Amino acid sequence: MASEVISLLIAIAGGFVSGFIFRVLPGKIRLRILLDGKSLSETSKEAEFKTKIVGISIPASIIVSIIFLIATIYGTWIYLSNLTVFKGYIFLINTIVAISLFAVGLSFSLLNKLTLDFDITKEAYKAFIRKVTLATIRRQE
Amino acid sequence: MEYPSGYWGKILRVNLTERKIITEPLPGQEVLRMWIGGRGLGVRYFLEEVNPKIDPLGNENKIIILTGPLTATSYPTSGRCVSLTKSPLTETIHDSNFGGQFGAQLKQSGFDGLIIEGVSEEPVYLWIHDGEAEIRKAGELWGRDTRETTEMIRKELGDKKISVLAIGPAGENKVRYASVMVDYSRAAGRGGHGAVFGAKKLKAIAVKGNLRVPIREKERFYDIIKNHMSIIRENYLVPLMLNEFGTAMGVNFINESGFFPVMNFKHGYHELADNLSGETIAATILTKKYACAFCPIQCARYTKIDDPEYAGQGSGPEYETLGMLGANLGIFNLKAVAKANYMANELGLDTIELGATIGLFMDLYGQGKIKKSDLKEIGEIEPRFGNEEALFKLIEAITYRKGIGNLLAEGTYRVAEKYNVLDIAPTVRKQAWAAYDPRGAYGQALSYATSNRGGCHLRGYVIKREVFGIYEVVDRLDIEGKGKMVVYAQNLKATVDSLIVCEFLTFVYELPQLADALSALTGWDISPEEFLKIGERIYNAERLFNIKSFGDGREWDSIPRKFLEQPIERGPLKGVTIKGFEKMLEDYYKERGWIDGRPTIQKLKELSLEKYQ
Repeated sequence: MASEVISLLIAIAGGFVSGFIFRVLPGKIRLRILLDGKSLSETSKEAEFKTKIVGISIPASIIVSIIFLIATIYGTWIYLSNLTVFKGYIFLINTIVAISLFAVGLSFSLLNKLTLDFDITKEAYKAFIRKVTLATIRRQE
Repeated sequence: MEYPSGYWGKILRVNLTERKIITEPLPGQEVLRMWIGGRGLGVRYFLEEVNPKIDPLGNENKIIILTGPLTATSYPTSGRCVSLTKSPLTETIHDSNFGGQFGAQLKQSGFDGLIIEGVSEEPVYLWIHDGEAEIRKAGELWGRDTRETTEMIRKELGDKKISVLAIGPAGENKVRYASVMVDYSRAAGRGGHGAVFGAKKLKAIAVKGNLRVPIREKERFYDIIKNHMSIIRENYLVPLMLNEFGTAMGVNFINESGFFPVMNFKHGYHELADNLSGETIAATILTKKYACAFCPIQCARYTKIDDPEYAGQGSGPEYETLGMLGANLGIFNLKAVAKANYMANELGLDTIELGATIGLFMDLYGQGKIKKSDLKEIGEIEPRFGNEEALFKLIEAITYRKGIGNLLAEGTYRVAEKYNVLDIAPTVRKQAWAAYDPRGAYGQALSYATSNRGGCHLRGYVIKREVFGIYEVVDRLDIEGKGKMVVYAQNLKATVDSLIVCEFLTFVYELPQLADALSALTGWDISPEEFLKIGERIYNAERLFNIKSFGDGREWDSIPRKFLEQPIERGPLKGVTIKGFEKMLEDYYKERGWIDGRPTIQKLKELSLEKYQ
């Protein structure tokens, strides 16, 4: 099989596995999200809310995944070493493929590795209370 | 006589006139199963022993302080105690339930409670410990505030862990809403029990106990405790919100719900209310959280202010105080409200009635109905909404009944009567209700109106259903089903106050767990239906006492006209009044089996109360 194809297969498999193995590594990615918002008027429950990521913490174990990814990319380079034409272009394509599949593998991992920590501003909290406590009121004739 | 677990079977009878103390047996099992203990048993003692027509401040009135079977058994929130008397404020039978350490210590001293009769010639206090009791002189204590009194008694008796119920100068001066303070931090606040103490020249009751409450089927009972504790831990509202922010968590909740009392219940909302919230307290003046005996919730706060203008420290302020001494007076400075709270606790005043009375007074002043010449005792300061200095001066004047304070010491209803404005006074049966505008929750309005001890949020706290959505979600501005809901809440609360456990426990569970707890302790195997029937018996018995006292009935089951006709002026419930009140009341009577606010003979027979009619 031509080394272009093998290197591409390495990039696909290696990239995905590099991302996916994060699933079994210790630690979690923690996103801190701030829920901001406010009531829009004194007399109604209308409100607007928006979210903002205010912090992210990534466990050191992700380095293992990154080492796998680098090894994958290096592996594709080795397989391309006897090519003389388009070597650079093919390596670039393999690298992009490996990183993309890494992202896909990582996103599968994140299903159980990502935790969210919500903070809420006081104005948003008050607007939320108002929404909840007025929600059951139908109307007064 | 053999008693079930949870009871010593002993009650102290203290006659202050004769300076005599005797120990009596509790009534037998059959009676205990009908009334449980605490509030229920206290009501039964009142029906048996007290003429309803007596003068509440005269020598025939009694103070009955009772624990319940669960008290001090390690059951969650079982450190509570109840005081019963005929109230000088409402002229109803009146129970006031309090936390702290007193209830547990009283039970551990070997008694289920005490009945105090007569009037002492000189100031005295009671000292109860390990199966013994004595009357001691309190001449040195008279005139002192609750903090000094408590500390002096502890010093005299040589034990810092003694728990002390004490009145301040307000009780001595028979302010109709004088409180009795527990270790100068928790309160038997409502109904003027402090004034009855004062009238009897009883300055304080000190207790210390080390005995273990008898429990026979330990395994069964401790299994129940374990099981119920796990339900408490799984609940979000009680462990998280109440523990984190105390009862003051209610400030933002009720303000945003649109029925926070602002300026004598004019508005239901204020944009500065957050200044008084539990969240703000936690971030500014909180020094520690603490709990009553056997309580896993820990909702109590200890706060401190260093700012010389407001300097002080103590327990609270609680939600009701923040509402009534803060927003209801147009005051949104937390330090000022905290200072007023410290003053009220030390002088021995109920902060709810105090806030309602001053709120009405400030309203009347704003309307030009108060003459300047009436205000000599508070100097040049105008009692307008938002005036902190006026608040501090009025608290002093009320406590010592100076000048206008003498009128304000009579409470909201009597001030309204004097100025002919009963239609706007936030009262039921002469007692001010708490920091929930009844226009914002119709079930709570009905609960206020039919409360046997006068305007009170705790006779049937349906806010937990109507606003917090616990157990069921209902439209709080709808009358449908509210009669039934209120009857259930009032009956259940009567049993809760008889066990005795804290209202906040019922935010986590009600029936059947409470019936199970009583069954496991006593071995009675009480069904939820029987348990609720006991509550119904207690509620009807109280109503009977009130009928004989002042002719209680439909005319007293009412809400002042302002709340039926004048809409809330600001906030999310702007424009709202109480609609359909009479229909709700009819539904309530039907559910109770009453006619015009009075139990029928059939109902009394059903509840075995016919001999008290």
